[in-house]
Amino acid sequence: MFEIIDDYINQIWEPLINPQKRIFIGYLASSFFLAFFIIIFQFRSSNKTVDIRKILMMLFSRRIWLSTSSFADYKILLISRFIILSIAPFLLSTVALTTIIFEWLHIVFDGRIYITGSIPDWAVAVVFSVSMFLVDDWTKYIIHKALHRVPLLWCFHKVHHTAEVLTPFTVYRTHPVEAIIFAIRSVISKSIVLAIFVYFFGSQVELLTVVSVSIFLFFFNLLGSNLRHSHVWLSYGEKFEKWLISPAQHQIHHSLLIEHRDQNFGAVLSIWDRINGSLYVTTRRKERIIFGISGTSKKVHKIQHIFLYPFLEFYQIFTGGIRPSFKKIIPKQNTQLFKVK
Amino acid sequence: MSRIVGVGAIALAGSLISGSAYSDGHVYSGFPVTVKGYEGSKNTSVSYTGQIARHVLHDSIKVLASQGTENTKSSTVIEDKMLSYFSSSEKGREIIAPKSKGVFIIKQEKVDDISGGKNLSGKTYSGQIAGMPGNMTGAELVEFWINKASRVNGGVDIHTGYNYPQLISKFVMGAVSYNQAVDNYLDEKLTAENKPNDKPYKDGAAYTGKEHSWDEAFGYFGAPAHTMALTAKQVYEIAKLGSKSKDPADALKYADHNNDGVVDLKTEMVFGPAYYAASFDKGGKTSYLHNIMGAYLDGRKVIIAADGNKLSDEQRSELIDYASTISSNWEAVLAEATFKYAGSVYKDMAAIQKALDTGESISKISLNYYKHWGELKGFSLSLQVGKDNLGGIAARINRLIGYGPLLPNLSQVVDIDSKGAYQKDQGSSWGEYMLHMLKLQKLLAAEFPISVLSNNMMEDISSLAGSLGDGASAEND
Repeated sequence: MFEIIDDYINQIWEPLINPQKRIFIGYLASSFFLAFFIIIFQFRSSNKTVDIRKILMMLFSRRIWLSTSSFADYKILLISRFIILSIAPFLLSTVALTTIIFEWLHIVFDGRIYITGSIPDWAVAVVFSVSMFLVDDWTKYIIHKALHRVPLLWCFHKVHHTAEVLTPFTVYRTHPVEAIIFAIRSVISKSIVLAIFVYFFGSQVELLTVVSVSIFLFFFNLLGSNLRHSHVWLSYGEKFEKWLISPAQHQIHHSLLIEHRDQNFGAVLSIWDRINGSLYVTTRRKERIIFGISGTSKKVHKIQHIFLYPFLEFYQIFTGGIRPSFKKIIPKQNTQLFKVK
Repeated sequence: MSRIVGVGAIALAGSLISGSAYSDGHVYSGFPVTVKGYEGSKNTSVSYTGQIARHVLHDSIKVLASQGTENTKSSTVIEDKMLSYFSSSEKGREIIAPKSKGVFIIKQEKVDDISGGKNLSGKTYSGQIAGMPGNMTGAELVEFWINKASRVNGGVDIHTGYNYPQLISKFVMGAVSYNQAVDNYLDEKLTAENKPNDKPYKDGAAYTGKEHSWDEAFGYFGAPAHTMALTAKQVYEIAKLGSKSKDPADALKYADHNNDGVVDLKTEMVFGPAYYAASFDKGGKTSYLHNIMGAYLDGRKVIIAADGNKLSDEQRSELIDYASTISSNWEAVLAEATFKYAGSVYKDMAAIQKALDTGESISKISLNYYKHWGELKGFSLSLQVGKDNLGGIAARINRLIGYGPLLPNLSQVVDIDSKGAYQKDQGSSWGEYMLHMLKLQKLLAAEFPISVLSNNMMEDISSLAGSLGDGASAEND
């Protein structure tokens, strides 16, 4: 029993001290400083007097951090960690799946093929790290887009988009079903790349890291990834946003306005959106955005609604109708939410 | 997973080795005579020269096996000589290995200088060896291999891929030393009725039944009496006769505990089982050597404390705990060795595949492959002759390794006919056999408490997967 409690506390605490996680204390700090200087810059641009106290009050506003929506984020985080802790042992690990693929390659190529000698270690490390990053980012885009476009998946992903106030912790405002989908995506994409590289390059394979984290992930997080889920407007400008998704672009993704709908599914790179016609670039000028989805009620921040309602909706879509017994518990205005995102 | 319970024994070993083992009485010698009514002149009850003689017989046979030849006349001479070391007790046998090398001077030159009338066949595992065809007992298998080894150049049969010096050596290390120690002296002879402590081991002996049983078990481990004063690396250097030392004189310095300028094989030399324990420990991840040595010393002290009286239930139980520490650590050493050579075989096969693809000669690489396969097979068979029946684990190990290495022409020994000739057939694909080596490493890592994992072919996967982070995260976008 104590072991379970201990594991759970670690699950809560771990993202804050693990540089592989978005809300690692270092990344939160870097995002804070970035936001701080952005606001100073914005003040100066509009000839306003820079008032540190005012900036801090803006960044740590009670209306943001203690809003009903943010409280729901915190509760979801606490409950999701417990659910993930319970589910994780049943998920196929990256090591297990990589091993299966690695072994299968021995049969496919009838032995082991080492591509060694002519390629220096550093080149293998660079190609491996870039490949891993590209596949990871591309599969995130594919899954994210599917979560929006497939009604059966949207009913779970909608939980994330019902956030009406964004904070860095909103990244954890996800339904456990979505968490499982993303975990499976992560394991499959990493395992395929890892198995192929280890099979051909053996111990030459190395991940380019900073503080034991992929160099791409590290810089993505260090350079303000937490501002994606915030009210701080950081645009990279049209030129860069054709390649990288800026925090402002992700805020557009969270907007319920019709002109912003189904745009910017990408995580780090915007090339996937550009190729598929879903790219929306921003400028330094902050756009009017309303976060959330239309047609919702206050219930979207209730825990039982967040965790259970998507299943009812899933059932409704799957069967094409609602059982009479469900009608009593499904809020009337929400029965067709997936259609009016 | 049942083998994993050994982890407990290995982990506990550190605590079982009392501080006293390192301070006073840390040398396995000079233990007093406690047997009641002893009238002889000996002032110590320690005696394990018979076991040291058997280590020397084993080392010598390994060298002889590498002298095999296709010349019929000479091969008969080699075979007879090997058999004289394996199954006869004749006098005057020369110590062929280990021999003096440079400054590393060995005191004894004849087997009789250590102990007379000893052989190996009488002490070789008498059960059937399931991992090889022919339904042979351990001793029959060694004699069969001796016959074959004498008839092929250098003891290596390139038509079957059998490297006999390695097969014989690694198997004897288990079928004689490991089996005798853990299945006989540390098992059957620890019962209350068998070799009791209130009687001499045999009439007129200076040692009690339990004292000598324990000493014989220690002798089979092949560690210097002063092992606790040495590091694993120093023990390793002694076994290599100085060839792996910065200065060859260092090895002599480490071995020569009594400072008489020579190495006494009876008490100062390192033999097979202790050498392998040290070779894994020198990386610092494990302490098999000192766990085993400490348990031997502490167990011996329990027997001395009985002062020639019958062991109490409590004392015997304590002794069984030490025996268990020795058995589980020794078994782990054999599992580590099997794991290591499965990796070596895999690497050799990849090298052969590459050479074949590029049109290079594979003759030298193939010899390495056969050598490593011989070590793999020998150790895997040794692992199966311990105190416990490995059951399904043994069956899986034997199936994965097969009866012979998969040859580059994809043939493999599958049987032995009634005349003792090998039967070959088409084996698996090259890739499939390499996969067997990976599966074997996975099996050994899962079933035995091993942690050195040399030549781990999956190591890259687990370390890289760790740096990529876990998949079970709610973090997306």
